[in-house]
Amino acid sequence: MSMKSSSNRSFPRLNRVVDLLCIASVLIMPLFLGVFFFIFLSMEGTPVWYLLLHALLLLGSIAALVRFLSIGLFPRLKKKDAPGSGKVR
Amino acid sequence: MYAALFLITFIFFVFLSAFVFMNYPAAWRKNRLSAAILVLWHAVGILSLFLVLTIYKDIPQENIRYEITRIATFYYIPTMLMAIFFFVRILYSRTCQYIYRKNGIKAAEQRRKWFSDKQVQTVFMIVLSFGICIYGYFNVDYLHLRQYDVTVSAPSGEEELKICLIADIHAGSGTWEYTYDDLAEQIDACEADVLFIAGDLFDETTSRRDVDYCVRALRSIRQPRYGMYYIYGNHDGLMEDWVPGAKEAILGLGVHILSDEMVLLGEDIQLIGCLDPKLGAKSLANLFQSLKPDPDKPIILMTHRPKHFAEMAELGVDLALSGHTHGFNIPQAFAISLSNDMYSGLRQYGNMTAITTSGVGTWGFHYKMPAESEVVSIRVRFGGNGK
Repeated sequence: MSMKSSSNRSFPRLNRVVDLLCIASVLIMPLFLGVFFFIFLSMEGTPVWYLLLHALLLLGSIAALVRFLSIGLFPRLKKKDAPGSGKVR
Repeated sequence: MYAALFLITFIFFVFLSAFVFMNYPAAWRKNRLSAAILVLWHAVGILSLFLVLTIYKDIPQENIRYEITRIATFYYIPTMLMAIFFFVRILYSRTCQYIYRKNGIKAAEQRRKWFSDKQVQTVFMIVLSFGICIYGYFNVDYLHLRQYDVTVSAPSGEEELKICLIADIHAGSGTWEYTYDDLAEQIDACEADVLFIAGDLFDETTSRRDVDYCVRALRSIRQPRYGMYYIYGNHDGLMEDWVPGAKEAILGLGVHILSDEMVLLGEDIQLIGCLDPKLGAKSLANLFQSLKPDPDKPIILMTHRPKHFAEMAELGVDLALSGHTHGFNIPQAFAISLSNDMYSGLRQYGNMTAITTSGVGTWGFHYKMPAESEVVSIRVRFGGNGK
């Protein structure tokens, strides 16, 4: 991902809200894609290739979430030696 | 009702346009030429959508109408897809930024790959969106003949019945003049005993000339032995308000319009045509109570929306036919899945077979991806295993 900030510095509170909304969306994305995967699976007429693509997206969203959690989505809960914890090696 | 729907759609598009415009990469935003192109893109697109939903059917030149539909299609579909792609990218990008900021990780520390470049991603998303739209635009006009063999357990005096099922022609923006010859050929290829039209023959974009094209096509086909039966869909129930004389033109062909009614095909095949819920249809239980079909004889039920199939099976229906969904299409499939039992194809519900067609055309836009436009040919055999 590009690290160039897209946030608006004039509205720090708004930025905070948008950040939280984005994080919430990323957290529920696997649930959203998972629910629709089973809906599509149960509906007659869904192409098999789309089901495979959807499963791939679902796995991707889970992998992204795991990665985000592992590098510290919630900084207070992270391990002391996690990257960015401030510990000098 | 339609005014409210239109208003909601219009407001949604304004917000969607603003969202897409505001979230383009910063480098592109600084470029005035790109910004001007984007503003023009949204202005022309929204205008074409406005025209499709308002005065489209009153435009006398066919070429201008088709051009408006093309512009609306090539605006709406890629914009919707790009909005989804950019939205997802923004979610993950901002979450990344948040995490790195909170953890004191600098951008330079991150491993950069070519696909991490925003411009590469943007070009990829634009190409993908337009690629999907171009495929869908050409795909909708290519009519397929889909065949099913169904065995109904109820005995009948008939050994078999050949049904031709069409739906969702949406004469106007959905099906254009040159498709009707192909449609007539495919209907004839079914060599059907009866033709069923499962709703949405016309819609808000249908002009008097579209009605004439459609009527001419239906007049040119070999007339089925048991005739033609038609039920209203969610769009054409109010067609008299939109195209005066359309109903008379259809009735003039000898088409029977069924509104919560039952007729006999041959000696004992019972055909029930349901009214769309939007037009004040009875509940299935009430309908069966009032019509009192004989459960020992075959019951074929035609309904526009593919819903309540399990209930139909419990009521003793042998074959349920429907349309409405236009099949599985991206990105509409998400919304369609929430209110229908199936997209298209054949599914068994106990003793009942349900068949849903993805239809001949599509509504509003000239686009179908990956679903195919189709005419359905069904060969029904009776008296299989005893009911």
